[in-house]
Parts: sequence; structure tokens; C-alpha cells
Amino acid sequence: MPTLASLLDAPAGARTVVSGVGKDAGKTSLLGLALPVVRASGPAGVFSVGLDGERRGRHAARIDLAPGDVSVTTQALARASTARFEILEALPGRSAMGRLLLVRAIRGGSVAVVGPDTLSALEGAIRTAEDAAGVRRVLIDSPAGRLTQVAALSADFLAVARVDPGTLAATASRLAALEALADLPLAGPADRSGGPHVDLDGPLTPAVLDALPSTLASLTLADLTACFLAPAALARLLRRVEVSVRRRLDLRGIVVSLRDVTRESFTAALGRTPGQRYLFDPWLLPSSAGDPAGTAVAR
Amino acid sequence: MTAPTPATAGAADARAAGVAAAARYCGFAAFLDRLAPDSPLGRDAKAAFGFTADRTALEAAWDDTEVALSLLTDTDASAEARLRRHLARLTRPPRDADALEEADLFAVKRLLHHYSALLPLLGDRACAAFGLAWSSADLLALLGVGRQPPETFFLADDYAPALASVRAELREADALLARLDEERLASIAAAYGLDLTGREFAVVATDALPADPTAGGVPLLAIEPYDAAHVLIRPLPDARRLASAAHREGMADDERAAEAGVLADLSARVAAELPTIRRYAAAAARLDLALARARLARECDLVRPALGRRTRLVGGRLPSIEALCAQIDARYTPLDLDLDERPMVLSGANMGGKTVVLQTIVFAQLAAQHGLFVPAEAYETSPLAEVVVVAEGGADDASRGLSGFGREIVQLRAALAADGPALLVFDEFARSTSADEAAALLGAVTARLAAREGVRAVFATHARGLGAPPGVRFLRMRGLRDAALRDLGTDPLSPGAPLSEAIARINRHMDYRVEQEGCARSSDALTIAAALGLDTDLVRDAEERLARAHRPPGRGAG
Repeated sequence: MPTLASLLDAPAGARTVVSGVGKDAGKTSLLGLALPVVRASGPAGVFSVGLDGERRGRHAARIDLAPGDVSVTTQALARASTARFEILEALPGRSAMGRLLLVRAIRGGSVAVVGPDTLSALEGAIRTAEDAAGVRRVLIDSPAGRLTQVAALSADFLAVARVDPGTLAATASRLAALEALADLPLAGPADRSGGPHVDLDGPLTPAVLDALPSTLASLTLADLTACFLAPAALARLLRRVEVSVRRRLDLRGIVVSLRDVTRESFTAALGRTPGQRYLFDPWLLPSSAGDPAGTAVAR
Repeated sequence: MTAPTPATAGAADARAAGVAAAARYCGFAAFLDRLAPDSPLGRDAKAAFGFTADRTALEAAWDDTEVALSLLTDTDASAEARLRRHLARLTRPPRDADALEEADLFAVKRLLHHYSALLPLLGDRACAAFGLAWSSADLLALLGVGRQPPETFFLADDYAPALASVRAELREADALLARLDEERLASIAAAYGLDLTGREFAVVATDALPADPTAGGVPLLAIEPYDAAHVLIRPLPDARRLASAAHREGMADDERAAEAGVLADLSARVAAELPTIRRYAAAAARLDLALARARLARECDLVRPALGRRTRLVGGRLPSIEALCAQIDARYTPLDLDLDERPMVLSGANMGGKTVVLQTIVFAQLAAQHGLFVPAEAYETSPLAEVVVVAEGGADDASRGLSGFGREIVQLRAALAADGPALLVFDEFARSTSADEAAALLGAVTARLAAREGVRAVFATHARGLGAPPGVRFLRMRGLRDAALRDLGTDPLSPGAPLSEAIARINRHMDYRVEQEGCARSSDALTIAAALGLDTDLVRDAEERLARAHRPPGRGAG
């Protein structure tokens, strides 16, 4: 089984979006665990994709930054933080919480990380952090179900899911679909030789799928974020059509916390043995009083 | 200055819409995108300049461009790159002197740093021309107190002894808290064998905890339900840790108070100097915009226009078509043309360049009135209040639902409503109605405009039979050379040949110069159709029909 360190192992300059599969998936907690891991190779950048108006301000993720870490926050949130910062850049636009600032911690502490309004502003902030502030590794907190930013930010991604008995079947099928999409091959000339082929520029929605020829042999999507089909519909499509992508996005790993669900139940719901991408319950501690090999294995 | 009334505001909006449509028509809108100042200040200045008839503003813009051109000539590539890097890093100064925040001080510091770095790169002449001066070294030094990097800002300890003192206490408090946390984690590890290092919380199997989680004494862990078999645990702070944290909170309040004091002092210093800082920003914006105009002039071989009473274009070019010709290795013919207040009617062959002539005229005028140099060998003109183009696709959204002819009439009304000096351009006006009615309408419009002072009107048309209204000039495109007529007619494009080949062939045989007098006898439509690969039999049939139609009555076949 991989460790969080092995999932996050990447050369300097890598960007990883931490994306929740479903609500309350545990992204922020995972970021808290992941940050010390990536910081081992140098200053880290912690960013957030812009939040919708309702979430903004009330639930901005609080992250513990170390000196040298770079992030985006507002003047007011910086002042309220236990950390202290130097301002590296004033970002374009203004959030409901005030002007957005790219900051570097000169004293460590906890701060609310706020997302820029646009992906281009986020990209600009990350580039400045990498080029001008010496950030070697970037983590990006992304709201649930919004993977489009992965493509825009030249990032790979880590999916985070929480599974309980009520969400077991749905989450397992969503994760299976996500893996299937991440494993789609790159489009090549062969995609155009075996029968009717469609090169799709826009999103693959149920309506678009209905409009495709029934004799379709192969289909090329821009990338996995272009697919908006329900897992069952995607599975049916993949059984009858060869689907490829023009750009692959690297699924770095899937972090799953199981609550009242055994590993066997999850495996059954997934329909196969979880592969090397899966990291279960990173918050779970082995204990001397219990199973020294770790309770995760015992379940 | 008086506030605009709704009526004047509406007229101004209509004029702006007309100019925007004209800019799209001739490709100037896309060309203007190439005017790219490096700084946000320069971009603001570009957006604020727009289309203007203000002679003083135009002359000033052109003067600045000339200074910038000579500056670029005297500057090597490395110095130019440094100049542009400093310009790109300039920031906008605060709008308001009240309640400045750290972000405002950051913006001022960066502006001052990069602005001051511009001056040694410019030389005295350019500094004087653009109004760049420098007297803020003390303020810049103040904003760098505490060995701060030049491009970032923070409230350094060195700004105030009280701030340094409270931060030193905070560092001690943080060290104490860290030590207490370590001790707590060590106690937890000893009691439960659980290593919580680097974790805010952890999940453990319920049976991994002893029955008495308080370890028979002070509780070490806060325990929350997780699921049926696990609990979530956090280190539980003891009384000393809680007291230390509360003490730190108090010190953090003191730090914020000390920071507020420093911020107030720095803000007062910046606010006092804000008028000067705004002058720096205005001068840098002017420099940046002038350099952008100069780069464009250099790249596109533009010349300074002259303001006079007439409009005279020598060697005028339309950049988009010039670039296209270069791309397909076709010849480009620059335009020589004088415009006066007599409406000008331009006729000529299909694909003979009438529309390009019109677009070139509009482009040159828009470029000049946006403060730019012009793609020509020379351009003299006078500032106009309006530029209106009546052409296919030129109508606004409000005209949706009208036919093509209906949309043209809406545009015509706008053109006739032009108040003051204006350039009115009609590209194949009334093309979608009958030839007789188009000619009648065109005759009436030219007659009306011939009587208007200050209006320069240009018509491109295939319509004939306008008569010769007094005060109207008739010009024609030279069109296909006679030899070309034979070649193109007898040697039509082979089936499957690419369109670019046909275009290049027509280009080779077409004379795009404007004859200063005369009306085209033919539009050479059938020859051009054959050259573009239209079915030969169909073209021949059309030629016979045309010949029959032109044959005198009583001499029909058979």
C-alpha cells in the first residue's frame, strides 16, 4: 500500500490539486497532513481554487504555514492570523473579504487560505510563488467536483473521499469512473481507422452522448474533465466505444477514509481490488495497545 | 465642465458605437490589440485615450511617440529589456489617502522602486519629455526598513521598538508552546504508545485505548466518536498550555496594536507624498504608452500623421491585407488618394480592391485619431468628430430581425445624422435591392452629402446610372489588365486547384491602383467567376445571356 509520502513524491515544480469526491471528503485535513511531507523538499505553496460566494469567508480552509511557505489570503485574514507575512503580490480583483494578496510566511502559524476569483489569477499567483519566491512544491485545495482547474493549472491531482455505509455504492462507482477516465489512452491515429470516430471539443454530457451516432467506434475527449456522464453511463460507453483523450491528467492517488465500512465491503463495491493508487485512512494510527501493524490492516 | 445630458450622452454613445463598428470593419480593432503597454498604468492610459478629435491631445501623443522612437533607437536591446521589466512591475498608486493598508504600502513601495529604476535608463531628454522626476528616496528607504527585499513589504520589527519587543515575546511564547506540545506528545506516547507527532488529530481503534483514557490522572487526550470501531483523538492541552496560549493571545493583541501604530505612521508619510506619487504614475503611464506606440510604429513601419485641412494618403496600407499578401506571396499595392468634401464614388471590378481602399481610408483615420502613427508613406488629415461605416455586417444588435437592406437603411440613417466633420463610408450600399433602385438611392444620398460641409463620404459600388450629380467625384479601380482578361477567361482554374492559387492568379493580373477619374465599364464578374473555378459551361451561358441583353433591339438571333 502506498504512503502519503510516496503518493506525493514528485520533482520540484510539481503541482497537485487535492480534490474532494463528494462533500466533507476531508480535503483540508489531508492538506494538513500533506504539507509537512512536501515541505521536506523546500518551501511549499498552498493555494485554493476560488470559492463560491456562500462559502467564501465563512469556511475558507485554515492551514498551518511554516516560515517560507507561500499562500493567498486577504489583508484582514493575514492580520487575524497567528502567522506573519510579507506581501509578495497584490492579486487582481477583490474578494468579499478584501483584496487578495500573495504572501510568504515570515513567522509560521495558521491562516485562512482564500482562492483567487479566476483560474488565470491563480495560475499567475502560483507562477510567482514558484519563480520569485522559491516554492518547490504546490498543493491546491479544490472544491468537490471541480476538476477542470487541474487541466488549466498543469497540475496532477489527488482525489479524497470519505465513505460510509450510506455513500458506499455511489462513492465507489464514482471513484471507479474517475480511475477509468484517468486511465483513458492518449488519442492517436489508430482512433480514426476502425470505424466512425468523433473528436469532441466540448463537454461530453448525456445530451451530447445521445446525439452521437449509434455506430460510433471511437471517441476522443479533450481530457477527463470533459466527461460529465454518470458513472453507469460512462461504464456503458466504455464497453462499446474506444474512448481516448487529447491530454492526460495524472491521477496521483486516491485517499479514502472508511467509516463503518470494511475494506472488503469497499472492494466489493468497487468491483475489484483497489490498486496502488489507493491510500486508506491516513489518519489512522497503529498503536502499541492494539494491532502493532496498524488497525487499517485489521479492518 | 458640465455634466452630459441624456441627449448628449446618447449622441456620444452613438458616435462611440460608430467608431467601434468602423474599427471592426477595417481591422483596426484587432490592430489596436497589438498596442501593448507593459504596465497596468500604461494599459489604463491606453484605455482612457480612445478615439479623439482633440488636436492638442493628438499632437502630444505623436510628439511622445517620436521621443519614444528616438529613445528606442538610442537604447540597446538589453537596456530596453530592463526598461520594459521595470515598467511591467509598476503598480497603481492607492486611490485614496485615507486608511492605507499594508497592501497599499506594498503597492507604493513597488511603484517607487521600479519608477526610480527607470530614470537612469532613460536619459535627461526622455525624462524631461515625459515629466519623470524623482524626489522620494527617503520614502522608498522608509518602506524598506528591516532589510526587506525591494519588491515585497512587511511591517518589520525595526519600524518600532514596541513592535520588536512584543514580537520577541511572541517568539518566546511560541517556543514555550512548542515545548509544551512536545512534552504532551511524549506523555501520550508513553501512556498509550501513540505517536501524534506532526498531527493535529488521529484516528485509532477504540480498543487501542485503555479502559481509563485519563491514564489514572490528568486526561491527555480529547476523544470523539469516529465510527463504530474507532475514535478520533487530539492532544488535550493541560492548564499550563491553556494559560500560555491565553497569554500569547494577549501578546498577539499587543502586536496588532503595535502594527496599527506603525501602519498609521507609514500611512501618514505616504499620504503626504501621494500627490507626488500620482505624478510619478502619470509620467510612467505616459512613457509606457508612448513606448508601446513607438514599438508598434517600428514593427509596422508607421509614419506620423500631419494635421491639416484635407485628407491625403500616400502609400497607405492595410496591415491585415498586407500581411495576407505576404503570406500567400502576392503583390500588395499601397494606396494614394486625396479626399475632399465632394462625395467620392469608387467603381471597379469584383475583387479589384474597392473594399480594401475603403478599409485603408478608415484604418488610417482611426489610427491617427487614436494617437497612433499610420501605415503609409505620408498621411495628412483633419480630426473628425465621427467615422461611420455603412456595410454588410456593420449594424448593431438592435437591428436584428431586419433584412440586409433594412439594416443598411438603419446604418444610413446613422450616417446622415452625423453632426460635424465626419468620414462616412458606404461599402456597396444597397447591394441587396434592385440595381435601378440602388442607383437611384445612391444618387440621392450622394446629392444630399454633396451639400454637407465637413463630411468626407466615400462610396464603393457596382451600381451604374447615377448620372453625374454636381459636386460628386467618380473614381475607378484599374481592374484587370487586358491581357489578363484573355488569360483568365480562356484558362479557367482547373478543378481541384486550391483557392489560394486562384486568388494569387487574380492578384497577379489585377491592377489595384485607383484611377482619379472615371467610372468602371464592367465589374468583370464573369471573368473573375471563371478564374475562381466556376463551371465553364455556366460561365459561357452567362456570357451569352449578357451579350444578348446588350445587343441593340431588332438584331436578335435567328
